[in-house]
Amino acid sequence: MSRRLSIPNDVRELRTAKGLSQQQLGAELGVSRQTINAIEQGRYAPSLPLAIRIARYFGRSVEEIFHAS
Amino acid sequence: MPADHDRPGPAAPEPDQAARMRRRRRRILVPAAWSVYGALYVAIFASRGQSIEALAALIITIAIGIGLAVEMSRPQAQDQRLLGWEHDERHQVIHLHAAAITGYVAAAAALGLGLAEFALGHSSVIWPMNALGGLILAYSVAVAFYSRRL
Repeated sequence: MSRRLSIPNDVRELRTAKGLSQQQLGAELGVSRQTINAIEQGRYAPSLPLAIRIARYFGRSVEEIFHAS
Repeated sequence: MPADHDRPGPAAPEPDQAARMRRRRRRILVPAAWSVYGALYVAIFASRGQSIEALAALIITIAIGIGLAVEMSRPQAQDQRLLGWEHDERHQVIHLHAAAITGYVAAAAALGLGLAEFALGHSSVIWPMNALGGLILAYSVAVAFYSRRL
């Protein structure tokens, strides 16, 4: 089936720095709170469009937020 | 050469509007199709004089029909155009995996039942093998369709 990718990232740090809850960030990005949680824990690798939305939202590049393991 | 796609026709709906209409149709069609399917069971039970079974089928049909209607029309906070599991991309992945597993289970069941039918010789028609053939055909068509589309 699918590869199980672990994607370390800085989403949690960036979100808390902005004072947002997972629910609020999910609403901003058009995904569920559970998806934000899964991304933060590295359990779910977001699609490229979502990764770009996250990067744009925090004013960073995708590579600055998501780190290849 | 002029690009035709640069000139939208007067009757062409906006992409958002078209998507909304498509989803609205599905919201109605899926519960309606289920209701018709369930109603056939109710009618067949009733025609055989099996009133208790007809009543049970009616209750199950209505309960699942309501569940489907609620799920398909559940308003989403982020995007009103989306239906339940289309809510976000992770849910879509989860449902795709669940659908794949359902397919594997169905294929395994057809294989097992086909062997059992063959071994026990209960009937000359090995319907599980026909079901497996149907699954393989459906899978092949789906692969061909998405190979062209994606």
